[in-house]
Amino acid sequence: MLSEKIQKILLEVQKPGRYVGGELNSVVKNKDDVAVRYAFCFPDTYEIGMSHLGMKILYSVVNNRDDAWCERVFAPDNDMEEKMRENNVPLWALESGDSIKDFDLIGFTLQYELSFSNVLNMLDLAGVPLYSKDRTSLAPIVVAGGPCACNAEPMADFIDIFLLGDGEETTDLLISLVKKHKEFGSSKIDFLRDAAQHKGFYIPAFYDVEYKADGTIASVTAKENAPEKVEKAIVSDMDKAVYPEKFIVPSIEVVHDRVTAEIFRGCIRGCRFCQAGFLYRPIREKSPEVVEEQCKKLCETSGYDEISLCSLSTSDYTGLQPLLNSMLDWTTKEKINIALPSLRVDNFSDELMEKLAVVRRSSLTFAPEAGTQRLRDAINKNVTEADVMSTVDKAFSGGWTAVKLYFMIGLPTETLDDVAGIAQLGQRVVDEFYRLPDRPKGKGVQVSISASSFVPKPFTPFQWEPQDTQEMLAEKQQHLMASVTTKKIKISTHTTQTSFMEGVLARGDRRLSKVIELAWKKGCKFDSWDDQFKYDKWMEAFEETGIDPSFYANRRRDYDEILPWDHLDYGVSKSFLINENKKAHESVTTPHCRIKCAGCSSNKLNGGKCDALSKA
Amino acid sequence: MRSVRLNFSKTGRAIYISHLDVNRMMTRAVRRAQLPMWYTEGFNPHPYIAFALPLSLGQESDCEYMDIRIEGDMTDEEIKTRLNETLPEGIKILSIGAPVHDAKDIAAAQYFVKIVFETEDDASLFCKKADELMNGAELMAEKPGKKGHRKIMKQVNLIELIFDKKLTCTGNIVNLQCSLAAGNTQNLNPTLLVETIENCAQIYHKQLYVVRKKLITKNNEIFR
Repeated sequence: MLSEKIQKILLEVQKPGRYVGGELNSVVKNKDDVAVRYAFCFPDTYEIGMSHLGMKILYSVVNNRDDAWCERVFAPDNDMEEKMRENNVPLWALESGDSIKDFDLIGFTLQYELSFSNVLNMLDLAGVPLYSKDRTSLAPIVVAGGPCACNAEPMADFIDIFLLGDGEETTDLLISLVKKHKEFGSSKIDFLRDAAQHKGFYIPAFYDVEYKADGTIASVTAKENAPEKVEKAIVSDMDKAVYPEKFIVPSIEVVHDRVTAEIFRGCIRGCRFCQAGFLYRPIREKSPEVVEEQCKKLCETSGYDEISLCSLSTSDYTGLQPLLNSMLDWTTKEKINIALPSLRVDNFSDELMEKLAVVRRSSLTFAPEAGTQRLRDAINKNVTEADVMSTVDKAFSGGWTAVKLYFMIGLPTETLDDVAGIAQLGQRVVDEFYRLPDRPKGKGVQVSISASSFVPKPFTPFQWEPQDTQEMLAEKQQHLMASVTTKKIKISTHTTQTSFMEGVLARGDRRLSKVIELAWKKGCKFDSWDDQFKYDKWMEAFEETGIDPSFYANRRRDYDEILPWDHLDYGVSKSFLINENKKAHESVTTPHCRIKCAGCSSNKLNGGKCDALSKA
Repeated sequence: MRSVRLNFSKTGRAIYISHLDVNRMMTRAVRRAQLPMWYTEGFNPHPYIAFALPLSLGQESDCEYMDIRIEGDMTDEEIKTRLNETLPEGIKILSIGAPVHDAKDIAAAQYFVKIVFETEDDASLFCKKADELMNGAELMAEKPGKKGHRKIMKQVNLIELIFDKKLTCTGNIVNLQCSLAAGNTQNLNPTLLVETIENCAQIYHKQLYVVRKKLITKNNEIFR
């Protein structure tokens, strides 16, 4: 299947197993038997992309159809890219080894802003024109989804269609639409006109953006009969949503190599900094029986010995206790470990901890996010110091000697006292360990504190907030380091340059398309990899295009400013976000959705239904 | 508990899977096949799986060996069938039985090497030079080695590691069948042999295919 040209370069690169396909459960079809060929592209390396659950789901959505074939494509590493360019080998899909420029659809998942340059690089390696306007025929159509599609404006000039919301819905429909128009012999523009009429299909070329003299947006006007506001598509019933019966089992080691079960979508918490918590509303739970059945099947077909129960806040799942009780019967017997990422400190029970330690002990990570109660209230984390202490108490008594604590610095309203509070909280956790009579003997305690830099994101109550400048962030990082007085606390922080670029792209508009193109031309790619990020090249690109990056990152927006993503509708109303922003500045919390509905209005997307209330 | 030795082949896309990754893959395959594996005791129980001689990335093989420990009374035939149903493309169990030899008795490996050149002239020139060099007294090459705990490069005479060889040349292709030293104490990778000859001859291949055909013990028996 792989051409001789490809085979030759495979032995000249690191980890060739990333480029060959053929893994267990990968799907190979006869290309003559399918109407639509879809290249699902993850704009990062194989090891990262193969860890992504969304790709596994959408791979099944497409390949469950007899008329379509979905194949996987990842960003080649630098050594492979060099060989490909040297030998004129265009980017290929893993399953067939065929060049993707001949596919009907090329789809990217935009998981993080710093992968944008990789999208351009992959299109270029495929031999596909970068700009949507330069691709005039019906194939290939270039689409993009994932969380960053909620403000895809910086990528607007390159992508034909952004798919908003749950991919299970939009992808299936997309395949049908492409098939129909291919049979009909439609032009690209006719196809796009039709696509624009469907929920979740945002065609950026159908929206004209005008700017004011101060650089802010004057108006966004829909044309070609496209809707004024594009509403995201959602899966209404998680029990009925497509979920893979088989995971592709990578033949080489990848980052997350295990069964992943999604237990619910959305989040009841409403932490004001968290984009995912708002983007994926309303809450939709999968029933424990369905989750268990899916886990069982996936373990059998993959041979994995670890299951991760995945969601934005796993301990908020109403069916968690019955699910764990039932699953532990067979997982213990088969020596399968259950991992629970995203636990909260305020509802981590003794019982839950016992269950976690049954087969193998995984590490414990909690996220207080901010160092003082005032700031935790401002960001609506709804966690108290007492919650943190009682949780680490349980963990230490249960035999754990290392905990990880996640914090952010640069949060709105933050002062240096709040930053010092992070170190103080860490110190109290250390003290708590030595105070406990039943602490694990013979070992010291290790508290790892990760302090990332806050980046304001669209569709959150902080979407109007200025991001801290790099100088401010650096000062706060230093203040944090200086506030730690023990070696039992380890601090890690993020580079401020990366956070700044992420901030610019997250809330950018479509004028940034030319900056991204220029930065890519200057060699920017793999921007999320610290060792490859070229900050200077990005700054040169801004300079040469005459665009000021701090306009996007460090500027406070007025509530009545037209934001680049205002014509996209993710369910959560703007008035709700404004109200939450005001409460943040008063350090007033909003109770979580099961205590009282906060009125975000996202339930309108699901016929008024939200599992935060119906499963309270 | 009993030990079972499985002989498997590695072909096609599977040749790009490293030795370590084959290990991981097999751990999962025995789970999928629901073999009654014997688990190690301790904090992190795992099935016992051991491999004979690692194969270089990019080489094909008919003589890969994996030892597992089985509890209960599943037949060898059943184990083989179940595994073959769940192994990925390119990995196939060929035979199964009780281990006869010890892995540390392996002394040599037989290879089939196909070297493709741009032109027929290159091929015949290479063939001539290879014949001359391999029949000489000395063919020195650098190999990574150890001095105590330090990693160093050391000079090795490859002739001492070549036990048998047969060269044929047809068109632009040179076929080399050879038996080379293999195992823990001394080992010669056919790729190193070809490259060393190429450096002497100043002729370089277009494509190189290596297939490991058999493992031979120090008593000159076929490893099984």
